Amino acid sequence: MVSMDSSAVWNAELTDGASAIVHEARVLIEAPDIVIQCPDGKLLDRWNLKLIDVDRSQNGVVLVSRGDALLTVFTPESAPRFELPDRPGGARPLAISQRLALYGLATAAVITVAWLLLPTLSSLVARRVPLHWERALGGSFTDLMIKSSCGTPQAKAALEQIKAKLIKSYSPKDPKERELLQGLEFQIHILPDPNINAFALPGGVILMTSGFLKSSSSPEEVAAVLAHEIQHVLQRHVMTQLVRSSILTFFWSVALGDYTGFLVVDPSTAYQLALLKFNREDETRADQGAVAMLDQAGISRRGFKTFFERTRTREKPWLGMISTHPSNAYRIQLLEQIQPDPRGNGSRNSVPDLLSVAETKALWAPCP
Amino acid sequence: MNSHDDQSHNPSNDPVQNILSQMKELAARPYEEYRGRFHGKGAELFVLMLKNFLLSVITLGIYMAWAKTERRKFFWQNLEFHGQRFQYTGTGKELFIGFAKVFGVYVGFLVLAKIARMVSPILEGAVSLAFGLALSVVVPYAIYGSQRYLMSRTRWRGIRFGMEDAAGAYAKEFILGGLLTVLTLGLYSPILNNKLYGLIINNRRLGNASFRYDGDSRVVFCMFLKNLLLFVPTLGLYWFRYRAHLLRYRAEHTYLDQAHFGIELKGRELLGLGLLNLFAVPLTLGLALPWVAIYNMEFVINRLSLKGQVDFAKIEQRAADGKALGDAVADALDVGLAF
Repeated sequence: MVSMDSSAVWNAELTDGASAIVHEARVLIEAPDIVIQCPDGKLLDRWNLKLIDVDRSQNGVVLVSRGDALLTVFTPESAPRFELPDRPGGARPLAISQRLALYGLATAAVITVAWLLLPTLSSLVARRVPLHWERALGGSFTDLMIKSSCGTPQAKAALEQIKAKLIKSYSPKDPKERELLQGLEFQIHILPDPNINAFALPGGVILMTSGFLKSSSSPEEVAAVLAHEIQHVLQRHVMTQLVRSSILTFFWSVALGDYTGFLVVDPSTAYQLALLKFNREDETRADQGAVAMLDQAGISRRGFKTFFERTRTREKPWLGMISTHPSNAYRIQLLEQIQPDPRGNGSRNSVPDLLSVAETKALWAPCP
Repeated sequence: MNSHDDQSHNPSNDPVQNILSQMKELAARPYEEYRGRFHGKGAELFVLMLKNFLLSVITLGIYMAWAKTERRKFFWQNLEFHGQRFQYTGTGKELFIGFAKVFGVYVGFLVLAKIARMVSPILEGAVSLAFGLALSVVVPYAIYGSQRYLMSRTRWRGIRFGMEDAAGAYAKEFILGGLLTVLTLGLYSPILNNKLYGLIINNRRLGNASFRYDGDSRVVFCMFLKNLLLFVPTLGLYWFRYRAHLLRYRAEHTYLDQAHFGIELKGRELLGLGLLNLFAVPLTLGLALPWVAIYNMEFVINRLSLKGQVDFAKIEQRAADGKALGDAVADALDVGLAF
């Protein structure tokens, strides 16, 4: 909306919409009309204010149109403001600094609320994803993994044995976790990769690198890591991550609109950093669940501790803040805070060995 | 009453005499060079983008159609050519209806694929293949349709731009030329691009005045070959020189009435622009985007000119054409213009 000065006259240019001829003109406002005159004052036309469209001022020019006819009103800073009589509900336009402050604060508020609500919303949605959807997702991943995984039949059999022992005796308190435990078929695939790592994918697909298996000090260590990954699936961390990523990707694409041609920024870096806090909590809960799983299966917790102690030397202290996992020292500390090992001080396994010597050797040579 | 382009000549009953006298008048007029200017400021665009982001997020994306319209209005109405601003008359509502139709088709495909999956994997594969083939045919229609829509919603001096309904010819050239490009391992691509550019320009008009392109595919192909030979020895730097030469050639062979366009552009300037676009936005986490967009606009406009004689007085209005659906499909397939 533009302001009104009843005595003001503005220079303008008029095109009638039938041809491209431009006529110089003068404009004044005499409600209910805009009066358009020739430079000598002769009347050219009158446009009723209710029948015109006005486009907001674009740097010294206001475009007023009626049908195909166009009036370009020049509004340099030295000229009075070109304003139409206020219509009900109309308001003076804000200055650019005021608009910046308004939209900036509103955007900050929306982002803050979204930041606070995102973990809860993602978790709520993830918990409601039907079991058959997750199973179908798992099926898709399995099809992919078969092509890139390795593993001798003996190594795979050893892993299946550990998995069976963990799952058979585990009874989670959460009914949703129980449903997942009974409904999902956990599949373990070995990736030919020298790095020490393990991943959980939706649908109960768990990946372990050959590097991890070769370097493991005992089957209990493998059981501890496997239990940890199974907990990520049961606690729906993986699905929550997927939902969270989808929501953030959606908002990012909404924000971009059609600017993809200009954009080079990779959003995953920016929001992965933002997600670290949630991942650390998930890792801690997965550790706690894994300990419960090991205890119920009668498997020593020692494997967990030896894994953290062994891999602690590989940690880079400066990575602490940006790592997706809590530091191993912190995790060892947490282990010691959980209720005491039911097998005593955990220094020796008081139940029969998890795997035979031959099975353990097969685990240490997972890929041909 | 004064007008810029008033033509006063004595009327005659002999049409041949009329034409001859008009030509004499045009020839007598001094050679003109028409230039443009962009008035938009980075701060204004930043505020607009912020508002668009906020409202799009709050409305879960529904506002995007209006956001796109506002953005176009900003760019169009800050663009001045020969003293007059462009107008953008499209509305968010028509874009939204276009988007809704495209979304509806996509949902329809998903439902069909799901039903097919329940029947048999082979049927699902057939449905996906059919959809993929249909998409490849839709792409050129979407490109042409998007341009046609944009032209129909663009005015200068109140006169609408427009494009003739030649989507079929464009699609045919696109698809057959595309196949030929694959068969020739890319060698046909400069000729194809030249032909497609020609189809767009030759069907474009401002009111009743037509644009025209007479660029020779052989010349363009020679430029391409030179680039192919010099690309590796110059570690890719020659590509910018080639691109600048191609843009200059295209401009000089694009006409409006008796005038031809021109662009003063060097390869090193394009290289500088490319580097700016590549680094400025990511290094500022996207905050510099509005200023980079304005700089890109000014870069082109400050170098562009229309040289020769244009009888603006003879340019008259024509009926509107073009639907927002073409623009929506182009957007969905990511083949539209950057605006």
